[in-house]
Amino acid sequence: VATLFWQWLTQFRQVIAQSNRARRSLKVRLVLWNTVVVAFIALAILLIARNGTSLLLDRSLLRLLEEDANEIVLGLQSEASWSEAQNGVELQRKADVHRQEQWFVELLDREGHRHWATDSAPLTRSPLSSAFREVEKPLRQPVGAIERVRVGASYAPVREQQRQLDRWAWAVSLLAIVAAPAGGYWLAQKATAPFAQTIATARRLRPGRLDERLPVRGTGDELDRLSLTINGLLDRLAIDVRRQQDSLANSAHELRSPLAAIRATAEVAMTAPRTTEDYASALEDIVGQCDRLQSLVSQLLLLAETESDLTNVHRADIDLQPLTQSILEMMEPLAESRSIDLRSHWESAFVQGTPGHLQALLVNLLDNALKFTPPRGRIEVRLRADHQQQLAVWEVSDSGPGIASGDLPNVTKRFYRGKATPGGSSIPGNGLGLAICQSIAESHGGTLTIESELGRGTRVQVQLPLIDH
Amino acid sequence: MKLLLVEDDESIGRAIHRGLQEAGHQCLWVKDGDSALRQLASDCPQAVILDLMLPDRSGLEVLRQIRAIGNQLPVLVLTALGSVEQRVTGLEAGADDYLTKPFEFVELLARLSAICRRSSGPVSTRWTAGSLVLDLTLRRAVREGVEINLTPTEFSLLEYLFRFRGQTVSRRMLCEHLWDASWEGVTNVIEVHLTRLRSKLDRPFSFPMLVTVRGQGYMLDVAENGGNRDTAPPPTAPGEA
Repeated sequence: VATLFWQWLTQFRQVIAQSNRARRSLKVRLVLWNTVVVAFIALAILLIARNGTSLLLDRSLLRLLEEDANEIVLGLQSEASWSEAQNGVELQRKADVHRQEQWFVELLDREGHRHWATDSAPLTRSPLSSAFREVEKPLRQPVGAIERVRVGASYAPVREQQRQLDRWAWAVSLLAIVAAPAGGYWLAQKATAPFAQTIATARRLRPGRLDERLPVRGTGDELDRLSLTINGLLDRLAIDVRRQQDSLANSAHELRSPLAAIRATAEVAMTAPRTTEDYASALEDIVGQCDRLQSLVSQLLLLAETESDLTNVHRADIDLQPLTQSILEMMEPLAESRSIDLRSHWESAFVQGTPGHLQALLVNLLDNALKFTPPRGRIEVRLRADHQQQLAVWEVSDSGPGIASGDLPNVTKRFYRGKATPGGSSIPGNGLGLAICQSIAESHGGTLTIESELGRGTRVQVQLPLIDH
Repeated sequence: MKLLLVEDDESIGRAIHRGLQEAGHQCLWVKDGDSALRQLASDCPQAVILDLMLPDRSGLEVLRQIRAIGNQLPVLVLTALGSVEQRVTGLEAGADDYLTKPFEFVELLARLSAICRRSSGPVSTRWTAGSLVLDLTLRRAVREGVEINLTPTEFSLLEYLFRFRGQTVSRRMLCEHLWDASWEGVTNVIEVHLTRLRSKLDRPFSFPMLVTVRGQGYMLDVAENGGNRDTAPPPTAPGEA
């Protein structure tokens, strides 16, 4: 018996577990809830209707009896004395007409004893309370021994009507309880059907295959909005993945040229016996190319670092003012050696960030400005705290040759190098500087915007979220 | 100096081994953590150059084991991983200094001698060497009794060169020192500042202290016969005491 019981228990548990799993499905939950709500509402309505109707029936019966009683009282009062032959026959005739409802009249004396009654009146009074409804009225002036009139009728017809109502109520409730799950299932089916397609599409998505989008049915409902939101996310992801892929390929290409230079230098050096000076100069070339490789690799690492959120660990509250000041102090002699007028305005502006990265950002911008501004040009660095918009604003403007409007959207792309300016030599650097600046600004929750006019100069503005300090 | 080099990469190991021997050190080269620990016990080197990625166990583990037995000898860690966290982990495990691959050989030499010197004398805020005195608290430099007026950047550069005096310091080292991180800014900046520093530090005096080492970097040499820089630098450690 114990084993049997145990088996039964295990099976029971499995069934419960299965139903638990099933309950997680949106459709099942919709059906269940729908059934519960519909059944509850149907039952409540029926209950109220049934009781309300009974109450009304009861009231109207009482009112009728009261009217009858009043009429009899008035009839008796108009006579001087009770005459069974006249009044009694009349009342008995009415009782005969309403025999089905067991309508009756009792005339009572002072002690409440029966003086006269129609033959439909019940003989005993004990069960009256539930089987009959009755109304008692006193006479204003006794007519002979008669002082009170009691009119009554059987309650059975009302009961019968109530029972009929109950039968209807049960039938409708049962129908509701049966129909609710079916209706709920239909509704749930209709509501969840679009999800199936969305799920099927989403299941097919892969990082390498981000061209598919979730279906939008154009109804503007929640599901459409969800699909649109997810599609937006997919768009951004696709752009990012594409950028990463491009960037990886570009990085590999960029690493190639210093490698090629190293290889060529070394191989040529080995093709024939050379003097020590020749070897030394070849090795110096190789070290120079290694420097190029090294700076490229560290810039790529910096870029990767700013793009991952890992760097958040080192975030601190930083005042940009001393940082700006020390960088300017460092760059000043370089500007002076090129006769460039380097001006600056600053005020205290606190941001949350990684000091090394913010430093790299400004150094890069200044480096760019110094690189492109001709001798006797002008560079202006400005740091201000915009308390209204909660922004720390860094601005570096120069009087360089400017950037062609066609190049402007591309200058922050990785490895993008603008065409050589007319009269100028080819542009130095590996095309990562501004990409790094933008990445740093964005990783700090800020933006980097570039305005430029050919022949007039360039202005780079970095906006970072200001914090209170 | 007797050194132990722990490096599993054949090419890097060979280059460092040869370079250290040519710099006048006695260098023993092992390629895994176990032999490193064995050599440490039997050979008593004066300093260790430790690669973090070894075939049998991580360099950090070797480092912790060295420190666990109470051995305080200077350890210079080499690694390809250069993020701040990794640097912090290395230093917390007991490394005296940290060098990210790829590095310049002059930097390895400079840092090596710096950590050996550091472990031998107390730290002072007033450094004297020859006729040059640096006051780190007041950020003042005095040569032959004459105060030299320096900008903060120039003083910072001089302080760094002083720390590695007698050793060649590469432009990249100075760059990293100025920028506080491994960010390679415009190297021109360093040159401009060094030129200014040189004009203030050397021009009014009888001999130049700030020497350019062709193709390698700069060196601060406080002794008057500073041109002879191929020989080992004169011991200047007492100056820090």
